[in-house]
Amino acid sequence: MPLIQTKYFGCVEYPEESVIEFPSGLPGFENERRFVILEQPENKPLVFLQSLSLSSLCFLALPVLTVDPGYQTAISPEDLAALELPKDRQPLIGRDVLCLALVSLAEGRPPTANLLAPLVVHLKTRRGLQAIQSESGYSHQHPLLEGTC
Amino acid sequence: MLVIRRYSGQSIVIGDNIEIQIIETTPTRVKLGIVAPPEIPVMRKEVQLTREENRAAARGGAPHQLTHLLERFRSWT
Repeated sequence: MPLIQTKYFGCVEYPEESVIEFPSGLPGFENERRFVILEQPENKPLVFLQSLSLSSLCFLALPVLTVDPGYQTAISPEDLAALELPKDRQPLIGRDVLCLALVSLAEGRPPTANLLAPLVVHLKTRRGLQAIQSESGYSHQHPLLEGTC
Repeated sequence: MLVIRRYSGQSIVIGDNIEIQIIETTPTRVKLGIVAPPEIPVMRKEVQLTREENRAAARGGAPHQLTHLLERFRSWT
């Protein structure tokens, strides 16, 4: 199995099938296209999204349904087309797509998750994008340690 | 904040090089056309928020914040 240098866990082996690709990168990180999802039983449900090209870049993420069990996607037809998903319906989380909210841990404010723009990965192709859901009504700074959690 | 009333088909200009045209209005939405030099980034506000939030997420917090978050998750399960 290939090895990568990670931000939090030193050198780690990863299975090739755990790699996900963002053909357009992520807003602010347009050149970072390939990530590996690192999951450890002791850190569940948190997952780590480690960049394959930049060892210092590792996002923390949570499955959207663990943040809000009633979460409903509002992915735009353009994004559905880019993901090669049917345009006439929203994909099923867990069956069609992986849907992760990026977590922000910043000094001086409580942790938040970006429910406005989750990472949506088509499970069949392992390709994804950050779906900015303008009409969803969700916040880009959803508080994590209160409310629905 | 400057507030200006405009009809469909009218425009406003910002400086010498930026023009914002009101192309179409409905009771709930406005369609805008924006003419700006290529060096001026034009994006929906949500894209800018997501970009800033991604950068904040990538910086991460202090190690104790991560530990605290993990402890909270453990206490839920």
